[in-house]
Amino acid sequence: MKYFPRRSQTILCFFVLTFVFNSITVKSLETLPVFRLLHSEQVSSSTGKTFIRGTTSASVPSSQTKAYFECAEYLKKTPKTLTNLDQDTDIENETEEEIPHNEQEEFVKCFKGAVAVFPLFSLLEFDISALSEGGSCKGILIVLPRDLLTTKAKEFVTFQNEEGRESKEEIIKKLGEIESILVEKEFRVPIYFVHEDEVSHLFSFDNLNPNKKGSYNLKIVGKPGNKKKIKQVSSLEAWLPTDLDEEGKLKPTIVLTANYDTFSVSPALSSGLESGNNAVGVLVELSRLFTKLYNNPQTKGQYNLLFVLNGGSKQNYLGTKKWISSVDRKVLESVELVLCLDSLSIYDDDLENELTDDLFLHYSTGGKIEIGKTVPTEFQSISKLFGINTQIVTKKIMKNNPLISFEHEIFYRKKLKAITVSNFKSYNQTIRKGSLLDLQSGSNPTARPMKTVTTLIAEFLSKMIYKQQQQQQQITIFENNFEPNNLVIESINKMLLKYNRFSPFLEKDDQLLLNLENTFKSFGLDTKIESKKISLKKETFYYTGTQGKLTIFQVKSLLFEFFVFIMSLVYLAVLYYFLNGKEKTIQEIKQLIHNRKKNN
Amino acid sequence: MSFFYLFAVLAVLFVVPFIYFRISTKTQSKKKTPILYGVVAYLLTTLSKMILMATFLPDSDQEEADFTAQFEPVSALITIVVSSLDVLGCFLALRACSGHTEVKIFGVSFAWSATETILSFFLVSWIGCLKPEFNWIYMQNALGSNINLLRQIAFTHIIWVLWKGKFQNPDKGNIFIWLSAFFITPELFKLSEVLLGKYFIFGWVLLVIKFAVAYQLYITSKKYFQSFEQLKNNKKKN
Repeated sequence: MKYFPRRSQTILCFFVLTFVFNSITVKSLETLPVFRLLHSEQVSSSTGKTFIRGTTSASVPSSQTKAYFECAEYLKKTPKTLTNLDQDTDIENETEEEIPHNEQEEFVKCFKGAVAVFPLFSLLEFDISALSEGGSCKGILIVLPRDLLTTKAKEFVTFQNEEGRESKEEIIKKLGEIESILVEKEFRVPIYFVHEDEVSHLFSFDNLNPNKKGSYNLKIVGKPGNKKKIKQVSSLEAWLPTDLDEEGKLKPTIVLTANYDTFSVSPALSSGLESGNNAVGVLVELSRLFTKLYNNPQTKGQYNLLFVLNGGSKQNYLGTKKWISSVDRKVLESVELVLCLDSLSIYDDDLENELTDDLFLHYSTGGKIEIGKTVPTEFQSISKLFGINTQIVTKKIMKNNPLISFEHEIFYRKKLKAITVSNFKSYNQTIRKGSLLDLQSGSNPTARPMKTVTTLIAEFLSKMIYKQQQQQQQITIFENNFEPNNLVIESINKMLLKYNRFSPFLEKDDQLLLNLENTFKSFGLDTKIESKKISLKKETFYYTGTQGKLTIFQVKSLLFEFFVFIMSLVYLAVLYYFLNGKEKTIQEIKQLIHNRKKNN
Repeated sequence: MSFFYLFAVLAVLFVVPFIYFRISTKTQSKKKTPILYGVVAYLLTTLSKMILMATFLPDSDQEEADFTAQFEPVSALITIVVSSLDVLGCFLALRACSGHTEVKIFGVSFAWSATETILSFFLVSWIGCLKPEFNWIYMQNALGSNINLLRQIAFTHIIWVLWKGKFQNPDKGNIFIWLSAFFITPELFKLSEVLLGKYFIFGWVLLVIKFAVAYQLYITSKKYFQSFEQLKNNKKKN
């Protein structure tokens, strides 16, 4: 026994040191991708240093999760967040008036030193801006359900507040408002997003039950963000010419445009469809159909067709502006009509008020060019043949207002006749601005078939192109062999879903553009990718490092570790007792005690 | 990471053999030479086994920790044959050292087992326990090394009986059978890991089975040793 420590002080030091250097033990579950909030790196502290680093490691111990649930219960009883907002109310003022300062502090305290994990719908109950201050929590993790619009989901159905069940439209609107807060407000804590389906089998929100033992350690590793220099915006043109006229000049041109880029609260999540525009597939299919027609000299139209895919639509249609300023003057002079394709497929049984299955045809007035009523009326009449109601929306152009509502306004300002076909009545509809509801996988089963819209637009264009032949008759061309192929549209959409399409992060030689170019080339069109240099304002900047790896560890408490240690000591003691024999062991213990007393 | 868990594992790894050796050889002196010879014998034997395994053992694509791995009979047979070098190593260590019988047997067993523990488990446990990952396997390995110590003591007893009995022991047939059990049982444990692993039974259950087998070997070898000692004492008296 002389080798065992005699001094109790030594044993005490041992335990103190162990406590000092110890931390909770963990069991890793899995590593999965997370996406960082767009602006989370833009925050600087008062010293001018970057506040948020590339790694975040924080724990959500069981005491914190319990506090979190208590906060949740408390706030459920007195919901004073976005759920009670009226449409015209300013968000910031409302939160300041509604939530007393001390209650907000209580709420924020729940998350101190921890990662605040929010399933998306819980953001409807919590004022996330309360966590915007540095030190309020270590980070925010938002769990996103995929393809929310397509789900007849419990999230929509079961969400309730004191006033009763909210409609799906109101919830969607509020989610859009939350996204606006996330984008516009300065957060001094890192915010990450993760898809629910990747996390649910490991770490569901139900597991954060305070009655269940254990807690979680979330570790996110990623490269620290660097400021990204945005140099250019790219446009893809596909030219389908017809013969020159008798004087050798270009015949009139119809331009079809769509935007391939999108926006998301996290740049790495910018691969969805729906919220911005999803007309790329329709445009590609139209190019294929008309190429087929133009390849036959008998069906070759009297118009040149120019198919343009522009980027930068979320930067006030920067790509379109750059393209139109650089396009060949002769082509520009030959343009008779510009048809801009916006979102074309949002349609949901449950959304009765905000979104309908109507199409909206937008055009501008108040300038030197008047589009007249012929084109809109013709579009309306054709759309009726396909069972779609088209509403005409006109807006007077405001030259002093730099904000572009729809793409056609850019062309209108350049004195070109232009219309936009969209599923949205207004540019500032929340669902249009929000990206959290974008389709991330597959197609929308409740949506209007894109084939119908493609046929409608194709028939409208053919009426213009072949007007001399079809003045008296209602001839439909795009059926049977010339029927639009839904598979082409879906395959283009699926391809788009694979790429992050946030414009500032796209380069000229991006695979997305190259793939689209190859698609046009395979139809036999002349294609060109043009990149234009851009210079943004000094206060506009973006950061790289938008993706990271999240590892979730299930944590065992310190007490458990200590218990294991004690049990091992008990095991050693029992073994010693067993091997040494009862009498000898007792004798040795007595000897030890006797020697200590002698020394003292 | 947790130092508590690390200390627990290290205590089970090293304190248990020390306790056993200390209690078994309490009244004896000259304990260092058997330990030294035991360490040297283990290192040389293991080196030789590694060279033979590298020469004769066919390549396998499977990872060790893969519980879905298949049991390979050819590799197992080669491993059993090569493992019989332990007999030679243990015999040479016992022959080289001097002192009391108990000191020699327990000294060599302790040294053999401790060296194996340090080389096989110490570093793995040190790194593993400090990882941000709690895993019972390190504690299971530590308890497994304790079981190996028991097995090693039984093995050394058998070798002693065979050596000192000069193969004249009337039970030598049975002893050889028990000796072969020392080489066969590790491969049987591997086979049982594969079989039970398909039903997600491993870890603690296997440990209990290993302990039961090791304890049986220990009891049997102790019985042979005691009967041999009795035979020797009877001859001396006569």
